[in-house]
Amino acid sequence: MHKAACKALFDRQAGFAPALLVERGWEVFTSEFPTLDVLFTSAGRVPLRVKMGCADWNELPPSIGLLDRDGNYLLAVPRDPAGIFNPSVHPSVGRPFICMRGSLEYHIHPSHVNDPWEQLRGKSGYDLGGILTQVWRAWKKAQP
Amino acid sequence: METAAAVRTVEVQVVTTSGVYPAHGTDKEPINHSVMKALEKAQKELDIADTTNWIATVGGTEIDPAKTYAENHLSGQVKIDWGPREGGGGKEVWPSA
Repeated sequence: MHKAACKALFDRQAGFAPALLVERGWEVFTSEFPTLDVLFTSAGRVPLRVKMGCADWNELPPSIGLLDRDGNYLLAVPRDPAGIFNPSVHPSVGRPFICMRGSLEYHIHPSHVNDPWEQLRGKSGYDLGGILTQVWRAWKKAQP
Repeated sequence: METAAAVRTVEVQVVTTSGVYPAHGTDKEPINHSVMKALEKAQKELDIADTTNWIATVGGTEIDPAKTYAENHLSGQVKIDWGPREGGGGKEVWPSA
């Protein structure tokens, strides 16, 4: 996919309304192609920064980094009931990762190569906001 | 003639990652209307193609869009957060990961 097309799609999907940001406690660090970098906040919880690398959006799903507020990659991740936050070291990126359909780390993991992104691309819940929403919901259900 | 209870309204705003409906302020909805009516308006106005597997929450609590505002114990100003439910983690999809 041409980079200009990737950027155009990214720009259409990565601009969130201020009312949504307030409602969800999201702080956008950057939404400039190819990076969507958002901090999740909530009273009584340790904030989580989610950095989505979208250079090939949506030919490929976003690579999702999990960071602290200051931008350091997490060595330990929250534990959620569904197991979306995977505490093990990903064989390619070498860090804990988001093990959920819609994250690059999931689709390139040796255990999930039979679940290709092509089956999800463009479907409900798998635009940038949808993927970010799913990670946010998992975070909300995780141990604080 | 409608009773006083029948004309009671709530002030509704729907927020999604695709935008907010209405863009400014709120819509007045009868308290005995289903929440789904407002979601359908939002879907149309925000040009959201597919809402399969989406959930609606108010104040962090999931509500049932098929029920009325009253049945969902909602009144006054109601901000509905609408978006996809989180998917299963790798452990659910593929036990080996």
